[in-house]
Amino acid sequence: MARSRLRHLVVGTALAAVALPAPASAYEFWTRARTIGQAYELRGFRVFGGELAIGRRRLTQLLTLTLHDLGDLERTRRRAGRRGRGVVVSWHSTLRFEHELGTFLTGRLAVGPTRRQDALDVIPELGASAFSLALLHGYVRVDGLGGGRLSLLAGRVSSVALDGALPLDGAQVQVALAPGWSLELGGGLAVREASWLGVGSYELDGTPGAFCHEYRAAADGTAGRWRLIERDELVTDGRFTSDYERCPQRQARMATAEAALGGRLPGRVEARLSYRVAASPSADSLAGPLYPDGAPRWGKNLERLAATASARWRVGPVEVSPLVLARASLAHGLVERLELSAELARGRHALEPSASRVSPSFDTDSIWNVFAGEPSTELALGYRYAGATRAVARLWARRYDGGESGGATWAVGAHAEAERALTKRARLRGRALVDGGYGGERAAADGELRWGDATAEVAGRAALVWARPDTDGGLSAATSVRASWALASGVAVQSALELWRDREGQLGVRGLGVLELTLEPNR
Amino acid sequence: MSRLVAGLALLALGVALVLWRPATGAPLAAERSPLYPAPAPALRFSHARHAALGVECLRCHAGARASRSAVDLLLPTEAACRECHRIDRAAPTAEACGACHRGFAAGAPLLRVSALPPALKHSHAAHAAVPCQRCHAPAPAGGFGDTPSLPTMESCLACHREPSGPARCTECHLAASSGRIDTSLGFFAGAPDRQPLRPRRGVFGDAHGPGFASDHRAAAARAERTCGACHDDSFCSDCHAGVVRPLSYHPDDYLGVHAIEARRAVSECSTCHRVQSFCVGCHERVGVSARAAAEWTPSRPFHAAGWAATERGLSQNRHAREARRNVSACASCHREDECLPCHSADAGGLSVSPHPRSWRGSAQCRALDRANRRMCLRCHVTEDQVGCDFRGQR
Repeated sequence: MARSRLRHLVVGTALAAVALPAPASAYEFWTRARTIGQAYELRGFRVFGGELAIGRRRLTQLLTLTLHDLGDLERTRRRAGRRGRGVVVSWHSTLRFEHELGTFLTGRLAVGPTRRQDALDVIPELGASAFSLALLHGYVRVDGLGGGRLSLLAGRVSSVALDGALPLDGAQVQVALAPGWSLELGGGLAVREASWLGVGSYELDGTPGAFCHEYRAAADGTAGRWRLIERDELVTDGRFTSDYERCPQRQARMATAEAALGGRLPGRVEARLSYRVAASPSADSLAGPLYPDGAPRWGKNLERLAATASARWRVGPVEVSPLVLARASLAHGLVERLELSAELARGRHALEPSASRVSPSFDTDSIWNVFAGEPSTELALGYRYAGATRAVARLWARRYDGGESGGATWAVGAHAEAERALTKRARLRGRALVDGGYGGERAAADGELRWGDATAEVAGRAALVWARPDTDGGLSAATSVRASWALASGVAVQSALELWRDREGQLGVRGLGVLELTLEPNR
Repeated sequence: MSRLVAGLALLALGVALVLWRPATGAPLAAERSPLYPAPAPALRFSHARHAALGVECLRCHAGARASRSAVDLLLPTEAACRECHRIDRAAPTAEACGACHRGFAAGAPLLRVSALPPALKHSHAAHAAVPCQRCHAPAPAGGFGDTPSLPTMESCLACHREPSGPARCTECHLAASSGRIDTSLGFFAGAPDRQPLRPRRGVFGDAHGPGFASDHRAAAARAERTCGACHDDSFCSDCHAGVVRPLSYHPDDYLGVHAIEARRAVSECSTCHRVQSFCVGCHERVGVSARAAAEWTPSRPFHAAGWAATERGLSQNRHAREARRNVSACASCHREDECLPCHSADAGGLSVSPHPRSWRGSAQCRALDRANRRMCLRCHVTEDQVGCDFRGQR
């Protein structure tokens, strides 16, 4: 049978199966549509030509859908008076649509005293803001398998490993082992910006690291070819000229496997060990100057081992909760993060000392991995108060090793925040921070007064920020007003308006509006 | 530095002022309340004094033993008090009535006892064999509404632990249609002050106090699965997708001062802004980028003179220090290919090695070479230049 006929048969059978009459089911579901509109101005830093303010008008829509108890398995058990644990099937998804409608994309740029071009032609990266449709997560979850010991997730799931929530097109299994212990296994393809309905994961690897090419016309404008993007060369509009980027290495499918084992140890200690490896084939179909002798067939993009352990002890009147977190990159041969912290709580007071050491690393396709990076060590002391006034304060000091730059340097800073109820409906919140050392100096304070009840809240806020990034220090002031109102059950609107005067005396404005519709019919 | 010390001193003073309160402040019972803001107690009552007189709990809370639902009202009425106390409604006096009713004034409405039902599944009847004090800890000096006498989740878990204990949070907490804990139950009609359910003194180290929204990394690592009991995946992506600039995390005029945080990498920008184009697109559009410096702002270069020398032997290469400290900040404008003309091992370039001095033969070099040689081939363009024993570096 011809392959096309077979495909048609499979598709036809699937459609027929979907179209067949099926018993109606009233699933428990929860859906939320969130529409976010934002408008603000960016300051243009050009001295001559062009506009000084660039408008951004961003529209984002998110649709979250949860279907609980697909197939009515739990409901059937309940009706039959069998309240024991059993299989429960559910669906969880969020779809995101983004669009940019401001002059940020559509304006023309002065690229010389007499020459202007479309911004999108000059800066291909802007295309990433123009439009996107992404499935942030979407998976079927089956709980209660194997007598309640096993859960299965399939679809676009979030990663189980410790180094951030990375989406994965594949499956995960969560198995309850001995009491208090669980094993999580996952596998599939890492979701990248180039994936189908993909959302960008951590891809800070420099564009050539993704082996990006662009289609460029020949001199006579009749034929063209793909070639490595030359960033300094301006693209001229033409029938066969395109800014469409092709990044084969970023589009390469990245096979990923991960595992995590966690559980309770004696002495009220909880521990978790996780491992993740991802590898992709070399995209050398456009072999050229980068791989003259051919690239290796595969490369590991990451291989990480992470461990965390925490405990909760009582030492006299003090509750002590220590945490140890370590993450090693086997692909880089280094410990990327080591963190020790503890919470010492007594009554309404808690102290939170912590120490961490971080070494920078990137996807192994990036050449920045082999640059001489300097690890940094941070020591911090936090304090938390949970009385009629709730407050937190944190003092930190960071040490940069120096290494080949010669001599270690320190940066220190602190911030504090407190909130107090003035009346049943009014609350006051204040914050202050001071940062110094490497990167610039900064001091800021803000105060916020909120008034509201269960259906509406209005807040006003004023802030002063003093900053000196390099040499041109200055004071900026800002004020903002925001309001939220629950119009009806499941319907809420939020809005915010922010005005500021920056360090150079220019005024800025930002507006935000959110419409949230939640439908939960069985509530 | 002195300015910094002065700033820190001011900060400490501010915190002290905020936390200080006169001795005549809110009553102790209110400060201990798990509800925020704490409700004002309506009655003067001492469980401890009644217990000392031998009054059993069930004498006043008569319905407790048979109650099967947490919403049952188990508070005693005035009739229970009358069994022992003489109450004369016909002749209300401030002395007699005010002994129990706080703020009593003849003719004025009384403060009402506010006891909201807990958003839990609980049967007192199922716990009939357990002494009351085991869950409702005695409060020696407490009055009515003395909330420490209410059981906490920790006191439940003291008995209900695996394997016989609850497998899911929703075996005790009420569930929403999503199957997760319904945290919105604080918004019951008639309870406008009640806050959404949130961990206060987290059993799993996840107390949601002020500042938690901006610093919850450790708690999320510690209680990864526990977060999912209340929050679905979209709750995380609402912030971490980098769509909205939350004022609580990026304060006012953040666009103007974000460079400081980005350079220092105090907060990891990549936890929300995950692709390089997020920074590069904006920087190029507003004119803060490598190309902008060359073509659009000739009179105001972004980097100072001597930032990146283009000839070998020049000592003024100030960009090296910044790149070693945080190359992520460089990546907000620059791409790898802008490093290659100087740092590639190709004969056509300057062949300035960006590696640390101890790189050749190091374990880190060997690990990366084993993991992904593609990256090595970006600069070492032929196979014979590749490997951790290559001596061609300058």
